[in-house]
Amino acid sequence: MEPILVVESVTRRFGSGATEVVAVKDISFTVAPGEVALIMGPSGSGKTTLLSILGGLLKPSAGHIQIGPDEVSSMDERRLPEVRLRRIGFVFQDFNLLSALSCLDNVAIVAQLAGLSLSQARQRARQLLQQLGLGHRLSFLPEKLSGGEKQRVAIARALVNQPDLILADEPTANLDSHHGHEIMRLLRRIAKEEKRSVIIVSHDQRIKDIADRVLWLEDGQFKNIVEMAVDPVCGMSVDRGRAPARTEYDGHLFYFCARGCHDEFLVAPEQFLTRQVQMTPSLPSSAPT
Amino acid sequence: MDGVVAHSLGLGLGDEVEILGETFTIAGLTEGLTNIINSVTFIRLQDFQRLSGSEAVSYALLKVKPGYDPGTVAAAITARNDDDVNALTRPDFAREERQIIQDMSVEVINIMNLAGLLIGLAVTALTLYTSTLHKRREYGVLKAIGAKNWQLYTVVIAQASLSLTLGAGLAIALVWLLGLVLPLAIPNAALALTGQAVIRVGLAALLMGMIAALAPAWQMARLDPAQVFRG
Repeated sequence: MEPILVVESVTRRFGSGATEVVAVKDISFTVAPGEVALIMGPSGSGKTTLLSILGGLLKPSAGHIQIGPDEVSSMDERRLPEVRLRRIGFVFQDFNLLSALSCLDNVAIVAQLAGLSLSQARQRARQLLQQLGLGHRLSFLPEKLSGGEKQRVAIARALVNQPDLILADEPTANLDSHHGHEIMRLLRRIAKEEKRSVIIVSHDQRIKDIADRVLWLEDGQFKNIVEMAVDPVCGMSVDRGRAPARTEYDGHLFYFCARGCHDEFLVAPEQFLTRQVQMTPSLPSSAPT
Repeated sequence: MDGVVAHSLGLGLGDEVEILGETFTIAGLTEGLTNIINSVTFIRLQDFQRLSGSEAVSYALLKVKPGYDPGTVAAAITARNDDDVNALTRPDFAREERQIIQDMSVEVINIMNLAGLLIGLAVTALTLYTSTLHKRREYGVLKAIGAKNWQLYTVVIAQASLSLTLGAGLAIALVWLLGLVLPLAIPNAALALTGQAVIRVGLAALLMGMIAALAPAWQMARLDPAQVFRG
């Protein structure tokens, strides 16, 4: 399957000469449709810069970025808003909803920007919000919503133009663990069911199990990439390096979240194999080093 | 004496009033002879000449006999007296008087208009600028999501149009209301709201809106959408 996002040798420098800072150094990776990639790293590691570059908000100093058919790194500035509007959905740490607009209009306005009439935009926004369980909050102003509800509105806004790629910046930072997990499961469900690629930048260690792949960014470069496997029994994502159990069957290596799943698998492996094929996301062909 | 002046002095028919240092009795009340600058009171010519110490007169009111054209008579009087006398028909005289009053007050009114325009411009520009500044982050979010500059300018223009339409509408309504109330409070002042004045106010509001929208538009054009990821 063709990757949605291709990042090749991307570097971003700020300043020049003695004051030059290289925020992102020669980064390459791809993200497949339906994949959830989590980018983690310490403060100042270049996560925000990388996210801005991926979102077409900042030009790389070198390298190429392709989102679907669009080569965004060399694209004219005037065309970038169109790419951001149609190909990328943004989910922000602070939700960033428009305070004067209702939930419905916060989502509809983005569809309107893309050219839909007000009634069409509202219809699409209403459907999305209902799907996300916010049908009873359509006319509410953001200030009347809980953190989790605000983030779901933000996700609906990110999805309204049916983008290929969703970029989420610390989507759980302002949420308690329950709502944080709820949002992460929602993002994962969207990625899997709608085959959208999701890239999440976060400090939150608790959400690692939701991602298919964890990329560790430090000093502007990826280090120690942790690829996540899916437990064929329960469907949980499992850190391959830390999986409590693993087994080889029919020439494939399987990872399990717990001994119980491992034992259950060994009783009747065949019954889990079809499911495993469906649940394992397509991983990128090229991995960063 | 004009009724408006008599009313403001608390006088009526038969009351005494001092004119040029001499006491006169009010024998009748006129209407429409008071304006924002002065009023007219009639006394006998002999009294005026005695009190002023001069036989000169400013105006003499003539009434032509039936069948005579006032315009022709006025032209004949003017021609006969060279530059000493200027004879005017009633409409011409009224027009000339209006012009004199306008000439005497137009500068004050123009200064007031300019001050009003500048204050309106300052208030509108400040309101729009502050509102844009206040929503700077939200505009940044829209820009990050994919809104183009012209789409954001539309928001500013809509805000300016709405503010100024409401402002101009309110101002016109207040002037209309003042036109009804003012003569009751100040009888020698009249306020007329003409269609021309409404158009002028509308154009001034449009001009104010265009100028006031410049700073917010410039601010939006410079807005960096990447700021949304910077917390």
